[in-house]
Formats: sequence, structure tokens, C-alpha cells
Amino acid sequence: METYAGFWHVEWFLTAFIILFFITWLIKSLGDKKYKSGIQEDIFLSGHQEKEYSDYIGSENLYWGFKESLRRYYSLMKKMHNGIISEYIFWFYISILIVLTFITFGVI
Amino acid sequence: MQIVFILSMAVIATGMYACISSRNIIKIIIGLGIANYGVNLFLVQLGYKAGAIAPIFTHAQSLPMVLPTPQALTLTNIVISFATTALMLSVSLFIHKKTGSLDIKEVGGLKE
Amino acid sequence: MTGLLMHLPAISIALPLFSAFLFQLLGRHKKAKHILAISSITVLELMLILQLFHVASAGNSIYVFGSETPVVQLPSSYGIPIRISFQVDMFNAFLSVLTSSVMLLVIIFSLNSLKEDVGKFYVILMLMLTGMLGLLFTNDLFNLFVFLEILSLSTGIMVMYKANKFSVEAGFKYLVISSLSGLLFLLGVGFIYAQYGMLNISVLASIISIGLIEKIALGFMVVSLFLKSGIAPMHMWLPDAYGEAPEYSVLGVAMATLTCSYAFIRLLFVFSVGELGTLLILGGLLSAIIGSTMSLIQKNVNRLFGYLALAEIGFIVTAIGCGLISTESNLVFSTVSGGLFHMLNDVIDLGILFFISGIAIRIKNSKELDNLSGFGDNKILAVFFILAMFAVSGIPPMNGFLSKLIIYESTFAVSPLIPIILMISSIIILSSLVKVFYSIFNGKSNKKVPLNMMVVLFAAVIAMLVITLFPDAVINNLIKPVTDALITKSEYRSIVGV
Repeated sequence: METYAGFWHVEWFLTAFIILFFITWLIKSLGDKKYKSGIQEDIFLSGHQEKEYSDYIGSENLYWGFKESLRRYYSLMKKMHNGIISEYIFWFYISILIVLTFITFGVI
Repeated sequence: MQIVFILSMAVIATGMYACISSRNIIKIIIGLGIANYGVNLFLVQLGYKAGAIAPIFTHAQSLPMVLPTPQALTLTNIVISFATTALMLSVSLFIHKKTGSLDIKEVGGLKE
Repeated sequence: MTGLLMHLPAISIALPLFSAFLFQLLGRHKKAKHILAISSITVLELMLILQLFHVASAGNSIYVFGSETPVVQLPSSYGIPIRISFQVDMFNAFLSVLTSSVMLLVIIFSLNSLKEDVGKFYVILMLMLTGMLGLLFTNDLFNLFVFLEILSLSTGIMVMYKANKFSVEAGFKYLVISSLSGLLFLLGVGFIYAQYGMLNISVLASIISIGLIEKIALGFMVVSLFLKSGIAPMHMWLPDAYGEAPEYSVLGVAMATLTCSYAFIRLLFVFSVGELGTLLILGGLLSAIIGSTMSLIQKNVNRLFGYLALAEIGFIVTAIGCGLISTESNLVFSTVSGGLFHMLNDVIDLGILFFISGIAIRIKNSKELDNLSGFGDNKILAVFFILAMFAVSGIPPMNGFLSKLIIYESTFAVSPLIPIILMISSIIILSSLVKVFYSIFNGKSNKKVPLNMMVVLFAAVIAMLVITLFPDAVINNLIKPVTDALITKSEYRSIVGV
């Protein structure tokens, strides 16, 4: 499959994937056969054993750092998406005005 | 001709202003209706031709005839806007029943 | 047979329209309504596929209403093309098949989610289908407006089908804002009519000379169609509508917005207004950024997918805008084919996501992400979700990767900044889908998934895998003729001989 500047062959990708999968499986089979899952996989929060991550970490808590570093952007966006219909209409007017100004002054 | 054009644009602008200046749902619908009248006026004045006759007579004088397309457009737009307005008014009734208010700031529960 | 082929464009509008009104005659026979809906839409699907093959082999088919024979090109109406006509080329034939397939899947998916008022649901769905097919086939600017209004009215009712507080609010917002944009579209049509005295798109395209008035008219039309297809910064109604639409038919609403983007793509290409392509690029990039970043902070799963759909529409529109402004024919073909291929992939991949979220919402009876957990033991669903997640965010070897690869490579020739922004947005799409995966497939609950939903999901996944494994066949046999039909305007213009 030729694209604009390169190519893409799904067969090649799948072949490489299968080979790498086989190598990974080989490496895994070299491991300790006597390993058993036990307490070392459980979750401890300050000494207490807990059952599930999801009881404490909801989906809202994911990507906290990303959201925190873009705090100003997100507060602006929340101000923009405030759910009031006349402001939605206002954005529509602004876009029309911008487009008409561009056209009349020959920018596009 | 020019005056009607300017007038129709003024009516459209009034309707569009009414849509954003008011917080009452019914007033927004009224604003939409006004903008609709403006567009209808604009469409009707497109079809006007001085001294021409309507294209409905079989034995008409040999004068220039008006192309009836803009009238057809206007009629269709009136019907469509009637349907839209009726639907929006019934929805506003529903909103009032559910939330007890017609103020868009009090109704708005969907954010972000 | 030739008679049927000749009348196919009109029949394919008439069939859903008439079956929409038949549902009221069936009274309370719930089963009969299911059978009528599925059978009529299957017949429609077969007819549209027949039409696609016919158009592929015999060229564009035209249908002129109210003339002596439907295929007469310029009827004896004193040389003024006042009659409404339909024109079907590869582009809209392809989109019509896509539309009716999506609607068939939506109907099968929603079979046992519906309560007593089955008839109403099917009436709205059929009217939506009528609006979409009319919007695709029409060759007349005013008729385009009429079908646009049919589509947006029925979509608005579909959004508030559940009739609770939030869905009514979302539907009302959609109705107000879409009827306002419809008005401005009509204003643009009025400007064009004032200049040329006709509304037939093919005839207009062959005589139009792009000046200031034409640009202003097209500016009005394009901005109002931007609103209807939810492109930033006029996208705010879109997440509201997607989030509050019934979870079993939200894909229909998504298809309706995508169909609206057909209209401005067709108009800009057939009138060859390359300058306005800048608007498409700006809107597309803005949608990609806003859609991906806003999807990270959502709590409602369908609302999150709504923002993802916004980002994906941004990809499509950016690619097509690059095709509009570039002049080198190889580049034009590459960008536009990337955009159209992405349109196909977008519908299928987002369809799988919407189906999985529909199953989860149906079983858990909530749309909040944190309440949806408990599908960890359903391995099939998890694998399908991962495949669709890879496809949407463009990770090899899925189909979404190939279309995004074409888009990245070809838009790089226009400006290197464009693929950078699109890639960043792709990464954020992936991370917000990981968030959804985390919350849905966490914990175990042993719930059984209804059979019809699984059937629909399997159908969509098979379509996705076919495109993934045989991209050459799909691109050469489908996307290439579709792109040629869109970018070589001569056939679309010349069919009404002037």
C-alpha cells in the first residue's frame, strides 16, 4: 500500500509482531517455574491490605498531573462550556463575524 | 429595492440580537421567529420585478413574467419555521414542567 | 430492471418516509413494528448497494422531479433549471450505504432496549434517515436546506427521546441553535439566488465565478453547516446532545452530524472555492485540540465519546481543507482520500465504542464513568474495546492508523505544524480512552450481554478487521473512486448539459 510519502504493509507488521511475541514468550519461559502469585501482588495502603484500586482511585483521579499543569487552560474551557444557550449562540455569531471579516478584507 | 434589503437585514439582526440578549426561553423562540420573518422578507424581495405579471394566467398580455421560485422558497420556509417553532414551544412547556423555570441559567444543568 | 435503477434515487427517499408513517397504522403490535422497521431498512440497504454498483459501473445517475422522464437533463422549461433534481455519484452513494448500514445496526442494537412506545422511536429514526439520504442525494440548494431542517428536527427529537430533565435541555439547545444556523444557511442561498437566479448546484457550478458576494454567501452556508456538523468553536451543543441521547441510538445522532459535513465538502469542492479551505483547516485543528483535551476531564461516558467524535471530525475536516487549498493534483488526491478513508474508519471505530458503552450503560443503568465498572470478566468485550481504542487513536496495525498515516504524511506537505497538532491530539485521545477502559473493565460482576447487542458488535468488529487486514482492496475499490468523484468536478457539473 503506497501512501503519499511512504508505504504501509499490514502483513509485515503482523509478521514482526508474531516474531516479537514468540521471542517474548521464550524470554518468559526462561523464568522461575516455581513462582506463585501471592501476597506480593496485593495492594497495601500504609500498612493496610486493600482489595481494589478502583475503590480509591476513580477515573477522575487519572492524569491528575496533566490536568493540574494545564489548570488555566481547563478553567478557561470550563468557562467556555458553561451550558448557557445564549453563549453558544454568541460563539456562532463570533465565528460568522470572523469569517465575514476575513472575506471582506481579502484574507481568504 | 435597496430599502427592503436593508430593512430585511435589520429585522434579521434584531432577531439575532434577541436570541442572545434575553434569558427567557420563550423570548429566545420569539427572537428566532423575528429572524425568520427577516429571511422571508429578504427572499420575497428577491422575486420582485417592476412591471412584471404573475405567471399564472393562460391568456396573459405579453409582458415579462415573474419567476415564482422565491415565493415557493418563502412558503416552504414559513411552513418549516412553523413546525420548528411549534416543536420548540412544546419543548419549552416540557422544560417548565420538569424544572419549574424558563430561565436558561436556572435550567442549564449540562456543563463542561 | 432499468426502470428500478432509473428511479432508485427517488425510491430510496420515499421508502423510509412512507414507512415512517406506516408505524402509526400498526397500533399496538410491537413485533410487527420491529419487523417493519428491520425489513424496510434492509430493503433500503440492498437498493442503495445496488445503486452504488450501478453508479460505479455506469457513471452518475440523475433524477429530475416533475419532468417528462426522470433522466431528461435540461427539461423544456425555457432553459431555466428550476426543477428539483437529485444526482448520485460515487461520493454520496458511498455515504448513503454507510448511513443506512449504521441505521440498520442501530435498529438491531436497540431492539430490546425499547419500552412501550416503539413506534415513536422508529418514526424518528426513519425521518432521520430520510433527511440524511435527501441531504446526500440532492442537487438543489434549497432542497438541501429542506432536508437539513428535516434532519435537524428529527435529530433534536431523537436527542430528547428519553424525556428526562437533561435530555430535554440538550434537545432544546440543539433545536434552537440548529434552526438559527438553518436560517443563515437560507440567507446564503438567497444571496446565491439573487446573483444567478437559479438553485441547481450542477448548473451553478458550471457558471459561477467566485467574487465577493459568492464568497460571503458561501461563508454563511459553510459556517452554518460547520455548526450542524459540530466543528469548533460552535461545538458546544455536540457533547450535550451525544451525552444525553439514548445510549442505543447515539450512533445515529453521530451519523447525522457527519452527514451534515458532507454538504459543505460537496459545495466547496463543486464550486472550487479553494480559498475557504483555510477555514476548514482552522476549524478542524481547533476541534481536534478542544475535543481531545476536553475528553480527558469528562465524567459521563457518552459525553466523553462525543468529544472524541468532535476530535475525529476535526481530523477529517483538516485533511479535506488541506486538499482544498493545495494545487498539486497528487497532494489533493492524497489528502482528500485520507480524509474520506478516515470518515469510514471513524464511523466504524467510534461505532464500536458507542456500542460497548451502550451495553455497559444498559447493564449498569448509569452513564457516570465511576458507576460503570464490573466488566473485567467479559474478555470479548475487553478485546474489542482495546482494538477499537487502538483504531480510534491511530495505533498500528488498526485501520485508523492507516488513514491517520495518510493524513499526517500528506498534510505535512501543506504545513509541518498540522500533523504535529494532530499527533498530539491523537495521543490525548488514547489517554482518555485508557481512562474509559480503566473504569469499565475494573472488577467483576458476571452480567450477561443481550444477544442482539453482541451480534451488532460482532458485525462492526468484523467490518473493522476487514479494513485493517485488506486496506489495499478497500482503498483501491472504494476510496479511490469516491475521491475521484469528489475532486474531479467535471462529471458532477456536466451531467446537466449547459
